[in-house]
Amino acid sequence: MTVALFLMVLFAAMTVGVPIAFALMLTALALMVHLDFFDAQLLAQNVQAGFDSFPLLAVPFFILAGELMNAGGLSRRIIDLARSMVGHIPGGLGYVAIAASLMLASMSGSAIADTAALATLLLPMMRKQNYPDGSSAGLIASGGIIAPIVPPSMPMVIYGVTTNTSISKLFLAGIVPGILMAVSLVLVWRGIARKVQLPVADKSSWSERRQQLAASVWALMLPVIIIGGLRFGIFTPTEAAVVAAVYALLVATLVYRELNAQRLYRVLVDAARTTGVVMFLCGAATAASYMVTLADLPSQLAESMGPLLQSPILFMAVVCVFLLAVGMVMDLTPTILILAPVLAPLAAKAGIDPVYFGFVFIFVGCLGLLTPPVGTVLNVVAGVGRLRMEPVIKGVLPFLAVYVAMLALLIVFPSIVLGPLKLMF
Amino acid sequence: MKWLGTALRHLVEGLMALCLVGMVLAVFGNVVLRYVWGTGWVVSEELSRLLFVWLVCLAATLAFGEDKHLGFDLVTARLVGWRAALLRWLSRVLIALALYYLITGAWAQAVVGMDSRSPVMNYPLALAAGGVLVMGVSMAVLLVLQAWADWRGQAPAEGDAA
Amino acid sequence: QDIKPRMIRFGYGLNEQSNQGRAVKLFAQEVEKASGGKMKVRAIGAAALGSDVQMQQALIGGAQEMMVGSTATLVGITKEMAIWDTPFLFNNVQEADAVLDGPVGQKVMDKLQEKGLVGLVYWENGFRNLTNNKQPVAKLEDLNGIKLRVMQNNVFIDSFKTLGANAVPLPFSELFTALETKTVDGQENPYNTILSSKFYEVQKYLTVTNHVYSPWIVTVSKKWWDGLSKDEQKILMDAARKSRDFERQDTRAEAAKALADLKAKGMQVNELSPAEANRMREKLGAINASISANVGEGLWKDVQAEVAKVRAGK
Ligand code: NA
Ligand code: NA
Repeated sequence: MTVALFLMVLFAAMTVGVPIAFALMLTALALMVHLDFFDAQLLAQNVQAGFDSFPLLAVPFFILAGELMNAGGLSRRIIDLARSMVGHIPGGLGYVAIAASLMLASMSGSAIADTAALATLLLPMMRKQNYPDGSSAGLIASGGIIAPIVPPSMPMVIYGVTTNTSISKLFLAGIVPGILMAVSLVLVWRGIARKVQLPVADKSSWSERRQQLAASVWALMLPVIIIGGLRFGIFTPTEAAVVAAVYALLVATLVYRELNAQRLYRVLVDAARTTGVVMFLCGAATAASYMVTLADLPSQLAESMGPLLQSPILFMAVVCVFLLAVGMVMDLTPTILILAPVLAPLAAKAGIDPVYFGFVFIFVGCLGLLTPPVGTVLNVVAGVGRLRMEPVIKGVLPFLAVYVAMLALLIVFPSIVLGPLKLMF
Repeated sequence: MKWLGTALRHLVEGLMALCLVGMVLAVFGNVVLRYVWGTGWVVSEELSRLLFVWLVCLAATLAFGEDKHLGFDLVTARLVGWRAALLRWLSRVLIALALYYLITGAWAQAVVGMDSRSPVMNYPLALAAGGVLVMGVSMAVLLVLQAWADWRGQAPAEGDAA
Repeated sequence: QDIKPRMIRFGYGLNEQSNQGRAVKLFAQEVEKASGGKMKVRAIGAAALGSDVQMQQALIGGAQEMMVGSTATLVGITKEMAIWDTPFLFNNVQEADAVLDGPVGQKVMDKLQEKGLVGLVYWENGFRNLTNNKQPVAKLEDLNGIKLRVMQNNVFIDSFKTLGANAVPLPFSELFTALETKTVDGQENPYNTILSSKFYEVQKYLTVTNHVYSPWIVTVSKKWWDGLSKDEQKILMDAARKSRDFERQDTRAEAAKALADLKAKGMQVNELSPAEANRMREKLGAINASISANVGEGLWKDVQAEVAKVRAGK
């Protein structure tokens, strides 16, 4: 009933042309009336709470770092290098995007921040080379959700704390599936690149490649600083984001000298504007998910699950379908906070390994970041790339399909997750 | 009137840039302090969060004026004439409804926040709720201006005011 | 009896399975029982209604009915609450109970009324203890150079700086990662938190310092409270008292079990001797003076007198 009302109001408002953020606010208001405790303060307060958060500061900082890398010539040099290496393969920038997703994933734990960085960096390049916008955005969004799968991962820490599951084991469980995700992206992208005629460059000579490497070494230091900084404990993830921005600023102004005061000001304003669009939506979604929580969705669910506990595979399948549905309308963090404490004990009763269940929970939750109408990562890509939602949703579908196929494999063969984990312990 | 809109937009953009620079300094400064002086900057988190709230509120308002907030145009893009106008006005009414409650709610929270202070910097919490209030009111003003322009038969001018 | 059907939204920060969650549940049951099912409590944990500050502002504005949270967050509303942040104020839980439930504790709680909140009872979060990765802390000097995460609160930062540690303020949400990546060497929290947040996975030494006693406080929106009948208020007050007694017993049992668990998980545990605790307390004279100035000298003296009375009575 609650979910039905939620979807009805949301879709009706969006169909009339109300921007998603306002549609979400209207949804929150409708749920408040439905639950009979209407108070406008709750709307304003939760919209604010959606962006009044320290960990989320990583979002504007990564957006700023990306804009600085674009305007300051860092990303151009990386792209030039990548082009000299794999540019002669059709769709080379797509492979660059996948490799970068996996690399960024091993540096940060937030899909939103990673996607913002990737989209800011790569979308303009892909557009310049006439890649279809939808497919590029879809690939980047799909690559972005590798971030919370490969360690470090914020959602896994939240999951581990709320369900008392070993965080280190959850982290390790994500390594192999994270690589599998990248591999499946390569397979789908190869299919797309074959269908669409993408510009193919001549193969570069090795001396040319060496030159490009030397030119881009300052830019390449950025991931090294972030990985090193995180690994050796020099800074926390939010700080890593700000260090990335400051480093990019220093390289752009002092080394490459491509950024004057006037352009720097434009970069600041542009990064701020993008942040505003992304975070305003985040605030509206927070208001809506607050009401969903109050509507007591979790306990309604726990009751209906009882008889399924006899068959682990069936239980997992039902939970995954349900989580996919919830993931359509709810963000990952509230999904974990609300549902993990309800579902994890049920999974334990069904005899399912808690680490395996936790990993699958996070994986499915991440797929929800790619599904409309509340697909946070989709929104980030569309917001950063200033794209309409429609082509982005179409573009993400093939990647989403291969992820769902991968999910089915994980359900039928839990050893894909548990096997490597046993080797590590 | 045009010059006023342009001046306001420049002002808002300048404030947004200031907020962002402030956030960078607050968080990066904390990192530097920790490594150079082995200590932390206690206001770092609160200050950066407060600036973040204002940055989002200002930028979201600007984006509203420029019609940059994400939406679905599956239906509206296919309509012309009175049907398109009907949906345009209906959508304005719905946005106005959301803004009305956002403004009244933010006002109530700002009043509550006059008397509550943040733990470290001791600033009144009304300062943060005030960001949402300013955003709601400014968006409402922009909505009325857009509606007025539409009523008089002008196409809503992009970035006319902010 | 004058009892109307009421829905009470009661928010809290930890999850349902925590000591906080169990006590809120007991409170809910007591209220329903005493009101013949007319007053219903919706217990909503895991910070689903927002952070302590967010819930607090909702209570004052009348958008939410009840919550339980830290007294430290209330300092921004009622400066007198800072008295409970005083390091080494209580030596044991008996002293804490006597002072918090006594006239001084009530006086501080009543100050909330001017700001739109009604305090009902104090619960126990627990004595805070120190963990770190560098060395066992047996004496004052062992704190030297330890990079210690502290709450973003001036009293805590200044206290640990005075004691010689490198106090680094960090949000709790970043703490686990910061410990894991060795951004900081240590932190301080009650046993229950050290266990439930899995800090034992990334921390080696645990020192039983009992350096601060952290209470929780159950508060009600005054806007809403003033609309209740005397009978309804009494039902809530009685249930709150029952929940308090249950919560403290439950928390203490859990803390003892948590300490045993932490030992079993391989943490090296040592106790700070009373003599060393005294040395630390003496070193913190200036901090105490500033707390006294903040909360008012009268209140400071009342609390000290009350503590002295409890100590003498034993
Ligand atoms: Na990651
Ligand atoms: Na979704």
